[in-house]
Amino acid sequence: MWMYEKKLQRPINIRNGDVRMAKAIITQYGGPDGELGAAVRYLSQRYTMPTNEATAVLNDIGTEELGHMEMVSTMVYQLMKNATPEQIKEASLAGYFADHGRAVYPIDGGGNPFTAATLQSLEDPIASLHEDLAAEQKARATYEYLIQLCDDPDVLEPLRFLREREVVHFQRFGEALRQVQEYKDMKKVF
Amino acid sequence: MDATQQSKLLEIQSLEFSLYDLHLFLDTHPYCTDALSLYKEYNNMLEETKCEYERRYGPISPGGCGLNEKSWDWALKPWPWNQSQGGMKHVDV
Repeated sequence: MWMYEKKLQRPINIRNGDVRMAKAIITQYGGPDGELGAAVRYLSQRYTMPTNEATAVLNDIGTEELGHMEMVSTMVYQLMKNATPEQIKEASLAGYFADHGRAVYPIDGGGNPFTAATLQSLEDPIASLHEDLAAEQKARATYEYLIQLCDDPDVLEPLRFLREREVVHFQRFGEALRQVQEYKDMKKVF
Repeated sequence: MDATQQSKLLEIQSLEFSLYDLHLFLDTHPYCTDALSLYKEYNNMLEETKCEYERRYGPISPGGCGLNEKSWDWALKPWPWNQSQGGMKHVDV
């Protein structure tokens, strides 16, 4: 189970609204390489991992992704909360506004709702861990694209933090993969 | 949220971040005694800092040191995504 901690992993205080940036950042909530997908991917894969260490890595990184999902949602919320209908129309978010108002809803950068069709969970741990390594790289690349689109330090700092976490997760998944490979090799020797 | 509270919270976030990074490291290095003792040290620091913060500003964990006999501050105090604005207004239901 999980217990909520009433704080963000890192502070976010965005002083200036920016609907266009919210529209781009929202993909890291509901998009193909977003935090919601990452959490679902890792927390689904953990049951069939062959070693306790790999299970722990998936469990704990999956948990951290839930915290990142909250950070991304917070950014979207703060960027949009004072937006006028006019600003929303200018950012081509009239359709989003019609469906959700200024509420946070998981979509990708093109407006498609969150789908589990962009992620995998396989019983084969080698395949799953390779998927996870790729997922961390894709999320890192997405954060770098978002950083290129952004010039507000209030938004840049949390984006840089989140990008950095993808790098750390990649490292831990690499170690987990090596350990699972060693474990599988060991089992072949009788 | 005033500057003092903000810096106290940042202290907690920094300690917890260090702990969390150590935590992930320990997942793949479970016999590293250096990391284990560092984890213990940071964990003690976090507990103290967090308790002090909760007594003053309200709960971070529902059953922590911010528990108050007169009101359920968990629900009443601001939520993390709008703390800088002092949170939402209290509504009697």
